[in-house]
This record gives sequence, structure tokens and C-alpha cells, in this order.
Amino acid sequence: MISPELLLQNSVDGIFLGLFYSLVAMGLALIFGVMDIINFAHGDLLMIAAYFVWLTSVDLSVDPTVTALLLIPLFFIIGIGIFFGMIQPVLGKEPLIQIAVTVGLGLILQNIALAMFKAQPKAVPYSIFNFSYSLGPLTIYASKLFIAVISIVTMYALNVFLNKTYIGLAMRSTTDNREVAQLMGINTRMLYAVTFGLGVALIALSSSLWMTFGQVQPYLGTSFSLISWVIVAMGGLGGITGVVYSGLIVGVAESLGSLFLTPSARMAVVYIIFFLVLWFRPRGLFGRR
Amino acid sequence: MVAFGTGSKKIALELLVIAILLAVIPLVLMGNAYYELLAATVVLFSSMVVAWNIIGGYAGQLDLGAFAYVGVGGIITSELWIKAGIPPLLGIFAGGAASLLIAVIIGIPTFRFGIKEVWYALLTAALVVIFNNLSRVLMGPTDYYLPPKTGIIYLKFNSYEIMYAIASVILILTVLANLAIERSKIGYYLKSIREDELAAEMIGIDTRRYKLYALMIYSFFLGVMGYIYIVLAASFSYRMFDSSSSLSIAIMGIIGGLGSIEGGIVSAMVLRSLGEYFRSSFGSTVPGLDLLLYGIVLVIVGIFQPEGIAGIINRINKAMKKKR
Amino acid sequence: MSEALLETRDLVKHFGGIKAIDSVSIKVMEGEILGLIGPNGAGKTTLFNCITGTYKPDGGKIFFRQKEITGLPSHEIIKLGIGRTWQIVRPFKKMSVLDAIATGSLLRYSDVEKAKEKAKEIASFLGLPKDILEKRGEEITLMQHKLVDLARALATEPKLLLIDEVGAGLRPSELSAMIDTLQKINSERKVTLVVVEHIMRLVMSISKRVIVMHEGRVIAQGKPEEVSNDPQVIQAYLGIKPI
Ligand SMILES: Nc1ncnc2c1ncn2[C@@H]1O[C@H](COP(=O)(O)OP(=O)(O)OP(=O)(O)O)[C@@H](O)[C@H]1O
Ligand SMILES: [Mg+2]
Repeated sequence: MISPELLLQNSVDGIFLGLFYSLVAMGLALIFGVMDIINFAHGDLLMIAAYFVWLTSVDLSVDPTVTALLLIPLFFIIGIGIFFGMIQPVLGKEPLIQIAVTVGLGLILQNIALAMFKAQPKAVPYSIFNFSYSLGPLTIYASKLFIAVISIVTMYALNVFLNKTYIGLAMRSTTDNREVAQLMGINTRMLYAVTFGLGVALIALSSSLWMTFGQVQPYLGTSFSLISWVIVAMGGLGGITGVVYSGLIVGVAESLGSLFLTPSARMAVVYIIFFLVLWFRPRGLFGRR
Repeated sequence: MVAFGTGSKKIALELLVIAILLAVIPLVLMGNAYYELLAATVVLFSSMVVAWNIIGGYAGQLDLGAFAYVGVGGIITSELWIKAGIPPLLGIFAGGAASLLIAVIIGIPTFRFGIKEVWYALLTAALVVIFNNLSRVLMGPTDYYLPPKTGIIYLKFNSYEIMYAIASVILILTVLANLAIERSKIGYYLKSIREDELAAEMIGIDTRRYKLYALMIYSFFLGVMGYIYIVLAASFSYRMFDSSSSLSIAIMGIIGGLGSIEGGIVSAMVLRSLGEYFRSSFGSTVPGLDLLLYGIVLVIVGIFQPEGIAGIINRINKAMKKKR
Repeated sequence: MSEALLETRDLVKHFGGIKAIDSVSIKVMEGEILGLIGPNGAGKTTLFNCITGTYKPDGGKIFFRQKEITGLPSHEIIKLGIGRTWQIVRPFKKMSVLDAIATGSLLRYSDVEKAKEKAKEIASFLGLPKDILEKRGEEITLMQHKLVDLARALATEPKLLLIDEVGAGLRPSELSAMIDTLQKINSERKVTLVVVEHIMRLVMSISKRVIVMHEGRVIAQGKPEEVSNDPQVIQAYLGIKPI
């Protein structure tokens, strides 16, 4: 029998995790929405960024939260580089070709990481958020609370960006209707490059957050890619709120799945939900696609 | 056939070429058991890629779930032998049928609700993870072994040469199935679905039904291959439901060129052999070199040669025709 | 007058707030070439999509040879004898032209060789040059594409063929050839045609009867010369709202 305390604990952990997942998926939703590019290397970019975090932490004793400040602009530029090198050539090509190229990129990143760092998971030796509060029966880890808060703040900022700035509005109108946006004189090539850069920069932020409590190993990206796509599928392109709700569902499902079944079956729960959503709500739960 | 024209004589010729190639390989390996096992694995892997060609190449559905079917078929066949004493020579058909049943259960709603492209790819990738997680719960982390018996009714031999021959027969059967599909109504229908599903619907094709047919044939073949895979691997566990192997099958299919049997075989044999070579030579120092290679080739093919090896074969063919 | 081959009754289709089809009732008579015209966004393509089952109508009924076909899946509707072509061609790029047409023939002839024979016959009926049959869909010209689209639809042996803007993008000489081809399809193959067209020259020269749509409604029908003098039609085309 599962105690109410445990249920509560797992639900709260699931919510924190879910908020973080939505941040991870946000970049993907943005890229897919604006430029219709299917990126399967999303999680692998996160994994590479996480190794950066680990390296700076071990070699330079820099806290992951500080590394984020460096990583965000760096990965923005890396993102733009990837866009011009690999994404632009396959823009508008069949989905299969896009998937092939980005899966290829993912494999390259994964195995470079494997060659350099081996399969052994790595964690940062120290993070300023390495403590926890007790709230009655509930334990709240500062790191998890921190990433949840940062996720919310970032998504709020992103929301403002998309609604208040010229580039943000251009992104939104391109998501809604590409042809009209082009007619309105939006330079789609630059817009795409910036969007891709932004999406990748968001991943860099996520990776720093992840490393405040998580571990990195070369295959970390695969599960993050899949989870992000699940969230995008559920959220539809219904905007940031859709992504957040879907992220929460995935986070809580994973957390409760590992409680009620076994930890090794937790992803099965998430993916079964994914099946059901795709089958019965093919346009996502929270908006159109 | 893309490369050799369409006449049935040419197809017979092509089969002959494949058969001779398959027959020559063991002579070259000269009784080295390790290489024979490798050759058998590579041939079995090629068969999987050729089977993938039915759903991925002809029907154009990016299936990333190959090892869901390989796993189900292989484990059912093995369990039938271990628990019920049913010899695998019969059991593989039950294994194939079990995979096919899974495919029907998954395929009907999937195609009914119009899930395609990236969503189909994700769904099938998720399928492998679901099977992996659930079978881990059911089977535990243990490795299971087949009974030590050997013989034709068990499709299991200590000699890798014979296992290689069995894999070759499976490859040829899979090629034959592809050829039969390609030359019949179903093949034309599947290809038109790949090209443009809506236009296909508008010439009277029940696209859902035909996609389901493709998925059924593909899953049946993979289910049958599952047991041979287990014999070559010497054991089985929940780890058979492996995402990256499933991905590799699709990768080889794409690199070979959609709808091209010979492209698929060439890409599977070359890449898989190279991959195994890297793994055995550098596996301890630079792990993952084989996958790195797949990744690089995939990016290059995607950007510069989207029609894969088949596209290259085609071009050579055209150039030769012009010369004549 | 004989029975209608196709009839729609109060057909409605909306997308969000837009009523793309707003209570449309039309009849298509056996053997005729009906012109369907109207300014951009009038709902012509949407009407085709409803008839062929691509879209499910939100209201109203569709009858084909006196049988109700509303809500049937597309492939069943096609099997009953309706064919269509596309405003923007949808070629099977990686298949040979012959194979693409033969795929259409397979609906009536399951044997591949037989289907190919039929495909060749249709190709020569439409005047497609022999040497393009082995070419792939991505290697031919626009005019040829349009003919292949037509051939592919004809190969399913329709009684009724819905043709969406087949004239768009063609050169004047090609247009004349296309007009002849359509007439030939109608007279020699006994296929009833509904022709959506912006090019008035094409409509006027082949249709004895024209239906005009505007903002999802039928605003006029009759002989081409009558319709083109109808004040409502003129206003619709000039973009001035009738007072
Ligand atoms: N799939 C769709 N989703 C949303 N709106 C649609 C869709 N298809 C058509 N519409 C809208 O329905 C209306 C009618 O469009 P339709 O394409 O039928 O016009 P048309 O008469 O064929 O125009 P044209 O001459 O430009 O081809 C338009 O306002 C169009 O924007
Ligand atoms: Mg139109």
C-alpha cells in the first residue's frame, strides 16, 4: 500500500520535473512551430551542454548556475551554426530526410561524448542548491525547486518576448501562417536562424539546471528528445501554456508511474499516455497542430 | 528493380547474384568461427533492413520500432520451446504471428487516426521503449538461455556456418517477398501512398488498409527473424527491445535508398561490417565509433544524396546506358 | 431533362468562422461539361473536397447516381465512379509516369500487366508522348504533369470527373490543346466533367452551362453568356458588395 505522504511527495516531485520538462520541450516546440523542422537531435544538444557544465564545474569549480550565463550565448551561436550547416539544406525537404539528418547529428554528438567521456554518468561535485527543506512530511529539494522556478520565469519571459517584441511577433505569425508572414516581408531565413539559435540556447539553460541535481551520460539526450516530442505532440502548437500543461502531465505521469509500478516502467507509462493522446486527440490536448 | 530493370529474367539474375555472393562469403572466411558469426549477424541484419523496406521504403512510413517485433517474435518462439516444447521450426511462425498481431493492434488505430511522418516515427520509437520497460517488469533483468539441443527442427546449430546458411535463406525469402510486393498491386499502391497519400486516396486506394498490410508483412518477417537473432546472440532478455538497434535498421534503409532492395542490402552489409570492425578493433579505446560512422554517413546522405545508395546505382546505370 | 448524375443539397462546410461552403445545392447532369467559376476563395475547391470525401461536410447531403455518398470514405467514393484532379498538380515524383497512371488503372484491373496496358492506352488517348512514360514524375513539364494527373484520374474509369483549374499556368497554345483534350474526354469517353476555372476563355468555349460561386454560395447559373452579364456576378468579380 502506498502511503499518502509518498503519493504527495511523488506528485510534488512530478510537478517540479514537469515544469523542467516543459522548459526542455519549449525550444523544440518553438523550432518545430516556426520552421517546421523535425529535430531529433534536441536532447543530444542538451547532453553536450550538460558535459560543458560538468567540465567547467570540475576543472574550473564554476557552479552550474553560473555556467548557464556563459552557455546561453555560446549555444545561441552554436545553434545558428548548426542551422546554416545542416538544417538549412534540408528545409522544406521530406520529413524523413530531416529526421535522417538530425538523427545523424544526434548519433555524432552521442558518440563523440561517449568517446571523450565514456559511458560512466557524471555529476557535478558541488552545487549551491545542494540542500533540502522539510515541509511536514514533504521533502523539497532546493535544486528541484530552483529549476522549477527558473523554468516558470523563463517561460514567462519567453511569453513576453513572443508577444511584445518584433522578432517574437514575427515568430508567432510565422507559426500561424508561413505564407502570410513571408508576404508581410519577414525575412524567414534570418528568422529561422534566430529561432534555431534561441531554441538551442534554451536547451543550454535547461542543461545547467539539470546539472544542479542530475547526472549526464552520452545517452541522456535520447530520452530527453523523446520526452520533448511527446510534450510537443500533446501540447499541439497551442503556445506556451500547452507546452507547460503537457510537461506537467508527463512529469507527474513519470513520477507516479515509478511509484505505482517500478522505476524501470516509468517511461512506459509516459509513452502509453503518448499513444493514447496521439490516437484520440491527434491535434494535441491543448491546441491545434 | 531500380538498378536492373523490370524483366523477370533480370530479377532471376539478381537473385542469382545475391545467392552466389552469399555462397562465396563463407569460403573467404575459411572456418574462422568469429567471422562466421559476424557474417551470419550481418546477413540477418540485412534481412531486417530488407523487411523494413516494405514499410519504410515502399509505404514511406518511418518505422523506428523494428526491435519491438524482433523481440516479441524471438521471445515468443524461445518461450514456446522452453516452456511448451514446441520446436522453433514451428515456433517461429507463432513468433511471427505474435508480432503480426501486435502490429495489427497498434496499426489499426494508428492509421485510422492518420498518424504519419514524425508522429509515426515517434510512436514506433516509443513502442520499443514500452516493450522494453514492460518486459523488464515481467522478465526481470535476467538473461535467459535456449536449451542446449541443436538440429534443424530447432533451427539451432553449433556451427556458425550453418547458422549463416539459415540467415542467408531468410534473406533470400525476404528479398523474394519484396520482389513479389514490388511487382504486384500492393507494391504500386504502397509506393503511391509514399509519394502522396491524398492523391493516392483520390485514385481509389484505401490507404489505411494498405499501410496496415505493409506493417503486417514487415512485422511478421521481423518476428520470424527474432528467434535467429536470439540463437546468434546466445541469450535473450528485455534488452532485446533495443531502441538504437531499431534506429539502425531504419538508418540503413534510408542510406540504402527508399524502395531499393539492393541499396538496402549493400548499405546494411557494408555499414554493419564496418561497424563491427570498428567495434572489435577500437571498441575498448573509442567506443561508439561504429555509431559515429552511421551518424556521419546519415548526415552526408541526407544533405547530398537523399536517394541513398540506390540513387548512386541509378546514376551509374544511366551513365552506362548513355555510353552504349 | 434527364436525372442528375451528381446532386448536392444544402451542403455546408465551415472552417472556424469562415463558411467556405454555405448551403450549396447544385445538380450535375449526365454527359455535360459544367463550368464552375467564382473569384478566389469562393469555395470551389472546398466543394470538390466535400464531394470526394476529403472533407466531411458540416451539413447537407450529396447524391451520386441517386445514391447518398455523404460521409463515405474517399476511396469508396472514387470506386463508385468519381475522379478528380488538383489545382496544384500532385505528381508521384519518384515513380515513372507509366507506373503512376497504371496505379490508377489498378482500381479496375488488379493485374499489373493489364493495368499497364490500360495506362498506355489512356496516355496515348491524351496525347502524352511515348518517351515520357518511362520518365519519373519529377522530370516532366507542367503541361505534361497536368496531363498525367488527368490520365491518372481517368485510369480509375470515372463517370464524373472534377477538374480543378487545369488551365492555370499553361501557355496559350497549350491551353487550346487542353480544351480539345477535355472535350475529347467528354465526348469519346462519355465522362461528365465539372470544370473549375478562372480562365474565361476555357470555360466559355467548353461549357454549355455555368455555375457561379461567391463567398460559399451559388450566386448565378445558366448559359455562359447569360451568366457573364449577370450584375451580381460582375459585382462579385469586381469585389463590390451588391447594394
Ligand atoms: N483546409 C482549410 N482550412 C481552413 N480554411 C480553408 C481550408 N480550405 C479552404 N479554406 C477557406 O475556405 C474558403 C474557400 O476556399 P477554396 O479553396 O474552396 O476557394 P476556391 O474557390 O477554390 O478559391 P481559388 O480560386 O483561389 O482556388 C477560403 O476562405 C479558404 O481560406
Ligand atoms: Mg481552388
